[in-house]
Amino acid sequence: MRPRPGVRAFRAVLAAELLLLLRDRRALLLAVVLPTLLFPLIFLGQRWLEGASRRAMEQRTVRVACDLDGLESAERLVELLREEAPIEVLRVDASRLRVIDSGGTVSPQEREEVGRLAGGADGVLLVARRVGGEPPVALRLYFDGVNDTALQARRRADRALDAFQTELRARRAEEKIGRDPARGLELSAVDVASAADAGGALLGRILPLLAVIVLLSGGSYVALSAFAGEREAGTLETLLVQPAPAAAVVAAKFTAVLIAGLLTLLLNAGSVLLCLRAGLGSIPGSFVGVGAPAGAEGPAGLAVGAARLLGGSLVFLPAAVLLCALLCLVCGRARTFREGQFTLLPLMLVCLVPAGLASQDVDLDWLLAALPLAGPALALRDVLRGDLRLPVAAWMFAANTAWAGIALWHLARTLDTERLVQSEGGEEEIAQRSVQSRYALRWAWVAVFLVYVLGGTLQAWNLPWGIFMTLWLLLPPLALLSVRGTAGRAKESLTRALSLVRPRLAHALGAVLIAPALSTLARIVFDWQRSVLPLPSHLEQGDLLEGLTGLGLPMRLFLLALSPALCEELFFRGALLSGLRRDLGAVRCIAWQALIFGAAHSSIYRFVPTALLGMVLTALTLRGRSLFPAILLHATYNGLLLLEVDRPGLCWLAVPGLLLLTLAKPASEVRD
Amino acid sequence: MSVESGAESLAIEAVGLRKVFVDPRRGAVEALCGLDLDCRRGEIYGLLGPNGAGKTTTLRVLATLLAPTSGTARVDGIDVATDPLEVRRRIGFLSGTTGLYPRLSPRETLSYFGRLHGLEPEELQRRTEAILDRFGMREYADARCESLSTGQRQRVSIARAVLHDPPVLILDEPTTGLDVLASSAMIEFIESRRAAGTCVLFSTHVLSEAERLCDRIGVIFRGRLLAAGTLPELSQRTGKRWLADVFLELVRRGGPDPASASSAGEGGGAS
Repeated sequence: MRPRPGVRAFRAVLAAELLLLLRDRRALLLAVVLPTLLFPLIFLGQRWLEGASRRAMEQRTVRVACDLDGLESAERLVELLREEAPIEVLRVDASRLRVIDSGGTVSPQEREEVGRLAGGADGVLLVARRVGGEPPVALRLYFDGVNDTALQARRRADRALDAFQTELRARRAEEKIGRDPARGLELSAVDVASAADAGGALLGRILPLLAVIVLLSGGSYVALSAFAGEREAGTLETLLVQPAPAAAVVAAKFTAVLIAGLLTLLLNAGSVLLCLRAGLGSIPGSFVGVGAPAGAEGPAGLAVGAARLLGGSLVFLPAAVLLCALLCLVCGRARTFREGQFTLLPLMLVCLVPAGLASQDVDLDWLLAALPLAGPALALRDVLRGDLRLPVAAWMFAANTAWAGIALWHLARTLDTERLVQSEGGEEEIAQRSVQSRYALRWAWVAVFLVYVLGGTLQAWNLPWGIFMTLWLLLPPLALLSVRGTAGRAKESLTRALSLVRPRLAHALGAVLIAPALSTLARIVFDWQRSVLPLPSHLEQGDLLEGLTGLGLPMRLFLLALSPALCEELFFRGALLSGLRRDLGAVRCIAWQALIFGAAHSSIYRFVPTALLGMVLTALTLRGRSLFPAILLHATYNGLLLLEVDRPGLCWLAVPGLLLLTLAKPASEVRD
Repeated sequence: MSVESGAESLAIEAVGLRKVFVDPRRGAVEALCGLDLDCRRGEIYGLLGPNGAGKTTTLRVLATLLAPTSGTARVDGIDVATDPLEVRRRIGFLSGTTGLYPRLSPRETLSYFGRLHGLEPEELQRRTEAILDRFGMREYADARCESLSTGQRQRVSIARAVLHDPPVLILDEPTTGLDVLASSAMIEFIESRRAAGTCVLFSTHVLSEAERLCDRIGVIFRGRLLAAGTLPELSQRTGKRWLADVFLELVRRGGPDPASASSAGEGGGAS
């Protein structure tokens, strides 16, 4: 029986793609083979460098100047210091330092005196200072933290001091009570984790990240040449008038990308495993968190069984499919090879974030398991470590298979000839097409920069005035300056360009009604984010606004709810969106707004909630074609968060709110 | 024109073809507005028109690359909208921007497209060898396409388009960008198809090509077919002797409203 046309086309295209890949020796060498060979070199080089610098440091003579006047058995300490050879121990007179006490900070005189006594920045100075009470003498070690030699000197001094303290303590205890009270309570830590667990835990921290990088780099070449390159070369049009279903062609091309990606991954992961097992090197220290098993760095620690590697491959499979589908999607939308290359870098960076979670101390919970890439990366880590919980794994697999399915579904429509033909045009035409959006984006980045630098400086000087000046003196002029060009090109009045038109009452009402749900959502997102990315203590909500507690409630509402609503909306949803919406579709407008509005709040901890708010406000403005609903929503949202209104019941108001927003037609034609 | 009775003998027939592109900035752009076209078997039909008139859009609709907004088009009796795959089996399509895979040889290129057309291995082998001989491509049959000259590449493209022996050939400005030698080879090839009984529909803005080759000529302007017929018929209708004058006269008569001129001109980006 003859195969069906789809199957026949799939086989023919796949064979051709693989043949084309094999023919391109240079790409094969650079993307697949070279990285594989580089790992041993990297590991060897790293090992050699580490060893060499350690040896060089240990052989270096360091200088420790000390004034141990008044210290009990000071001679013994000097003796211990001398044992840390090669070392030069100097006795100096630091009596002037004894009288200077600037507390935590170091005064210039103190610094100068230390430099003189220690004999330059290379040395360290150990001073016994007389203090009141018990113990009568305290030791202070001065060192220059940016000087490698000084740090080495400090390390040796520390070792000597440790030994000295232990001896001293034992002697004192014996004098007082005849024996060491701590005897019998000695701690000896025994790691009960099996070699497989320990090695797997270590490998689990790096392998997810490595897998994403290698898959993307290995698959990207094939994706670029199979989609963007073929389009540029003019073969795609020919291919699409052959009697082969477009979906079969896409499927074959995707399969070629997947094969190339998996092959690269296999070779690279194999190379890393072999290197580690052969003891060529160790996993970089930055990946090994506190409490990582110390013994796991040797060859014995990497005894990860084949079963675990196989399990890891299985849980990571949906991610591999998703990544390759994303590669194909990006390259399928690019008009030229070059355009595809430019889009790949952001894609790679975005994918590294969820994959990087595996190297952090983040638990695989139900929510993370459902997230694309994050779930598989964490599951891969847990499989290698040997503690993956099956229900979560099953959920992760289902959710991520669904993500991959969505990507494939979109991909099947990538080679739509209507779209391909319509988006034709030279680079000049494309540049002409996006002149408004690019202009607006330039202004937006200027604004983000100014808010960061000027706003940051002003707010550090005086928080309330700083906020006031950033909002009222910086953003509105920027909005007007930026929208002038946009309106000029579009031949519109400034108010119209800024969407300052009367909104429909339904939209204004709807905007206010969805605010409680949005603020509750923000709180949930923030709490969840805090569980993944813990907030430094000085950034806790209360402390953030500490400088404002002296102000009355009306003043705080003005500064933190009303002013941001007016000024930020004027710039972001007024001026910026005015430029963006002329060239870009709604989805891209919303994405840019999320990115820029999040970035403008210049804090990684506030990025997700503010980006989310930016998205909703953009959608609202695009829907209502008026800026006022966004201003109302922003003011209400900020007000609710400020007043700490937390009534889940109010969230139900979003239902009529959303209904009003979807059912009522836009106010007026802002777009022509 | 009698559609019912002529359907059997017509290789291509299009009735009231409309194609509207939706551009995010300009709104709807009408590239074809009710175009009628019919080509007989064994006929060489030239589509003539200025840039942006809708030539490429017409050919793309017939080659199933674009779906018509309204109207019908049949190629070898098959409707392009209902069974595009069957239409693709019956056409050979070649455009000025057609490229080749640089890392495949002519022989591999032919074999790839033959497989896409579902040719059996023995049949594919036989046809490939025959076509290599016919186009004189044997000496470079196993060199990579990236190392071939423009003329050699052009032959490979033509061979690729006729490998499956299609009853209809659709060529979009096939001589654009070719030097004298290569374009005369192309013209010879088109002429040779007449004897084979293939219908060739090609677009051009080189009037001498059309004069020399075509059995019938269709003049297309602003998405409409202004006139169609043999050169003597068109001369008679316009009272002009040379094709260039015939063409200008038809365009003069056919383009009264300046309002649509700009939209048709802009639609040129899509055609």
